[in-house]
Amino acid sequence: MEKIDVVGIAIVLLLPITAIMTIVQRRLLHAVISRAVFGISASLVYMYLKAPDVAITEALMGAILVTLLYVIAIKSSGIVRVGFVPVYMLMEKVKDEMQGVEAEILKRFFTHHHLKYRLVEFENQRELIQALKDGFIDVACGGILASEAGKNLRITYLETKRLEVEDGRMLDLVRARYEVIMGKLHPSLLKIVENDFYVFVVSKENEYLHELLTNFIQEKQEEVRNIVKEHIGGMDK
Amino acid sequence: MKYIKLVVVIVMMCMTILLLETNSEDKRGSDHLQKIVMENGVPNGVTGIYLNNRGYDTMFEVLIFSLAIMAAVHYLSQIKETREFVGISDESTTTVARFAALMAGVVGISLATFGHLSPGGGFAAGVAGGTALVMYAITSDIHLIQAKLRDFRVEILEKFLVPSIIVLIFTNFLPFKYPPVSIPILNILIFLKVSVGMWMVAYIFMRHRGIL
Amino acid sequence: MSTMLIVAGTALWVLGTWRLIRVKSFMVKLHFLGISDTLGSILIMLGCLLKSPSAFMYIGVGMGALVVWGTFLPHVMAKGYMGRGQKSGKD
Repeated sequence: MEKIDVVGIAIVLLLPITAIMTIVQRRLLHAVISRAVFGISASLVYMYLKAPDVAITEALMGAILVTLLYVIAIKSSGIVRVGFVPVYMLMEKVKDEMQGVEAEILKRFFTHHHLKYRLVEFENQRELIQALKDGFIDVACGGILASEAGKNLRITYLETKRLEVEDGRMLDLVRARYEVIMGKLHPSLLKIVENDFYVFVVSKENEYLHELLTNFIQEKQEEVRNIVKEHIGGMDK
Repeated sequence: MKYIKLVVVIVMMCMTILLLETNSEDKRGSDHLQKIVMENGVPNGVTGIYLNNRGYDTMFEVLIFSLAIMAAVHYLSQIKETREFVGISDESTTTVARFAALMAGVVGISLATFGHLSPGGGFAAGVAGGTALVMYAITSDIHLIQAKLRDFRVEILEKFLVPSIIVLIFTNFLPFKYPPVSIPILNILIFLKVSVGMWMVAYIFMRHRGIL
Repeated sequence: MSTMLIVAGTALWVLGTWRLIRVKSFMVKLHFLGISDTLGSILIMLGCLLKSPSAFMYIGVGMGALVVWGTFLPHVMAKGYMGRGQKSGKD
């Protein structure tokens, strides 16, 4: 049997090991770093096979350029921009801290998927939907009803509430309750008209985000109900 | 689904272990290589081969490269110009990135000009030069750099480089038997073409899509 | 002499990586790695230089690059680590 080239086998075995390392990573950024390690070990293999030009090109491209481009692409699209209109008990700012049902759900969703997010506040819902269409934000929340979100935007369903009529104005349950507590409104002036849903609105370009959010809410129905119960406490008047 | 990836990786592992066969007999092609080196007159065999003996491949590769850049520029110009630029403005990261850009530029120039003496060559140098330009542009105002580069008439330069590369490669087919002088010049031209091309693609991406 | 230098450099590498695994805090890890990798690589390159002084150009450039990078990068990483969570992240 001829001589076994131990150094050669060791160097070449680095390639599958780093490749497996790249595949089984959970976070994107870690996978990109493992890709850089893989590029460097490929360059090492080329050097061992006595091809310095290829080794230089592979090290420059595979380890520096590809990593740079991927990191820039991830960093610029990895921050989910959440736009909201402040609504009592659903999403509001209390002493620099977001509180409310939708805030809690979004927080748990982003922690679960290791995503970073940034909150952008808007004045009213029309600006919010317009910003979503323009591409300024990725997810819109803040007590948006399913009937108000436009036709060309994908919708993720949150929970069900009922829409009520009062003096010709249409209010949803949470806003109506807010006004009752503030004393601006009397409960007897309200009439229940129809069922409706509170939704998160995701623009059409972020189908992946839409899928993630839908799966998350469908899997965690129990948790969603608990959160709703402890923040709002029951969905009937 | 995860098992498919593992199977692919194991197949790759077996294929790479088979690479070790090439190290056992080294001496097969060495006379041929010596003849090529003597005929080309440059000590680096690889550069001599891909610029002189296999000039067609390099010519078409440069053509494909410029075609890809033209396609990217043409396609992206139709999306409307966009919103804010996400640039890096952190102080220490900016300093390090600019320093790295300078080093990459120097490495690129040295690889291009010494490409016929030591390993390197035009394409690796072009990648380094392009990376230098892109990294410098990320950390500062991009319109400034495009204006400055436009003063150097970089776009006209890039459009003239392709025919000159083709012409230079064709001069190797002339019946004279001199050692090809055009090899270092070709290295530098390819370096300029690749780095300017990479800069143009990156600039178009940044202008129309925010960042890359 | 050159072999001793190479062995010392490799020992520094191994020592730095071993401490890396055992320490919990990020800053201490960064401190150890920055010093051990830079010094270890410089020692290894000095050993290679003593073995074949004709390749002084390449090794010299490599050493110079290492000295500069090895002190720059941990500083940048530390600064990035301190400034995280300021602009993005959970509110």
